[in-house]
Amino acid sequence: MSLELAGLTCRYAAGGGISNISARLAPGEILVVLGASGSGKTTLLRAIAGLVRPQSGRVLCDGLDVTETPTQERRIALTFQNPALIPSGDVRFNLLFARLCEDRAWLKLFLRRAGEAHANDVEGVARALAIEPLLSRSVVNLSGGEAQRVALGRVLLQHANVYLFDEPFTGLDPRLRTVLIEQLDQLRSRRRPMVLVSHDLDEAFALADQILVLRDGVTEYYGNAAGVLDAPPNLFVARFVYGHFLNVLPCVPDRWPPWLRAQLRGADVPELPRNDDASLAFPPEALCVSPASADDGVEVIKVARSPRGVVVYLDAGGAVKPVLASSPVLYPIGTRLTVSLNWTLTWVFRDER
Amino acid sequence: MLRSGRVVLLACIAGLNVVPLLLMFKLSFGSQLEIISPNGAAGWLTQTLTAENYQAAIARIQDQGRLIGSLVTPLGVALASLSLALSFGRHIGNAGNRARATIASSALLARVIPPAAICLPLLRLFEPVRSLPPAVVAGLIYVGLLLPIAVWLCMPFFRLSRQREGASLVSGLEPERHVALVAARDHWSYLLGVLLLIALMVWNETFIASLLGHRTIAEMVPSLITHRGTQWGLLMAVASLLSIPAVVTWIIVTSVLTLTLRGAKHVA
Repeated sequence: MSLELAGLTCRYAAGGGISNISARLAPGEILVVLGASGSGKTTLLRAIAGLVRPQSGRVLCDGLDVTETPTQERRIALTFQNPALIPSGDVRFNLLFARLCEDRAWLKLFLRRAGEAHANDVEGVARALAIEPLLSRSVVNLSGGEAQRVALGRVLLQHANVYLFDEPFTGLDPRLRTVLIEQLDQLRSRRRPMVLVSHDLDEAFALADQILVLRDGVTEYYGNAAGVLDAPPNLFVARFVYGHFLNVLPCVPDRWPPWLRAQLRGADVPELPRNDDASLAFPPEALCVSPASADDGVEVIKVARSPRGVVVYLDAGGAVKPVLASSPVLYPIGTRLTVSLNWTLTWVFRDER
Repeated sequence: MLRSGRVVLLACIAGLNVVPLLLMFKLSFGSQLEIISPNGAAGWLTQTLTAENYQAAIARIQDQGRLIGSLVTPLGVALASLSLALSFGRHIGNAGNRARATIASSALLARVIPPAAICLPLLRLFEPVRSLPPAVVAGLIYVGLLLPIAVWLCMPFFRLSRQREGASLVSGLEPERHVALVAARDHWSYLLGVLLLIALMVWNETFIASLLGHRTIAEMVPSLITHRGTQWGLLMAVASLLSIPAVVTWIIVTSVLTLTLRGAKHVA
């Protein structure tokens, strides 16, 4: 089963929505949608599911145009930001909700009695999501994280052609995030395309085959996941995927600290526009640091350590913000380091500040 | 609402429920002169709360000018509907036990709101159908009156969670099945509140009137106490019939709707 979005446009009268979104997913591929709040990510999922009617464009499942097909006939699984559980049912019922709809078990649906239907599947998913002890409990009494897991379990148990996840990692602790990544990876074996909206970049990049970055409902980047890291098309995308770790400097070397200006003497220095409207950006990995003598090099003014590594903040003399560099060693504050900039990992964005 | 406030409110409602019965009880022991006197309570009831007087009142309003008359009726309808809606639906928007408690107390409150005050403006509205049997007219009046209240009571039902509806749709449930199997089932207390309200009012004003000589209670009760004596059997029968909805409501309130005179029970 493949999924294709062809020029999908869905604007709201009050503002917001998406414009001319296109993407193509092969069976089992995962598209991760990134963007700021209100950039149209959820609208995109709702348009794919048929919960909002696009003004133009098409949604094709396996080449078949389903744009006008009612939601309930599209066989699409979707988790919402809100768990959207049935309050009068217990956890088992909510997990099996979609299955009961598939089975057309109307009486069981009305009576909120899931019974022992699909017991093996339910227990398997419940065990994976650590909600097995909650199966008989009312969903009203669940914590936010537990409710989120039940909603995810409902989707994982559903037989769908396309799986859509709206911020599925929200409210999950690190262990459950790992479990969910494993579960989503397992879903690939069903050969169904998946679209995942997330603000959690680590998890998103762990899963993504393709990345779609939205700004105000418009595509800023669409392509493979490695591409957005290696060559972001603009400063907005670069800032989005690298977050506050991205070093951004005006393309005016006179304002740079001397140790950074010294890097311009290298052979692989690109041609810089040298004006205020352009920016030079690079991730911390672009800077290689090594210990320097006491009178030489640049001073470490701050050190940030995380499970992903060490980042040192290098003194930029106050003219620009401190420059961040990845470091293999946890240097103490005040250490002086020799710095070397790998220009192949830098990007120049013209007319963007 | 605070627990103590709820206790006071429910106590007041319970007390108000007793008022009609106490009035009848008092009348049955009053002197014949007092009972039939135009200045007495029975006289006021007899002479004021009758269909003829409603018509006379309307006619007087009409005499003062069609414009005023035409304004008074919709204004009366709006005020009556608004006052009822406010009393019934103040806290209905809040889900859970609190809302259920409010529905329950509101249903009891409705039991004591004088229906005549509501019928006065509405009768004119239904004048074209006065040729119908009184019970049908009364039914129409109450249905017409109760519709906005019912809508108000069911606002949470109409404001269904969009995401929950979306979850049903993506699970393969058709919209109408979602309403029947999911939404209505989850909002049964609101629907029950509406049904209770309708049942209470129709019982008091229509069914009893139909059962007992096609007269409204206000007209009929004083007529049971005459110069020739008090028809105790019929009076007690009316009192019993009158109290049935209140008793049934109270049973439902205390058991099903998790409410007692001490306040709402907290469901674990």
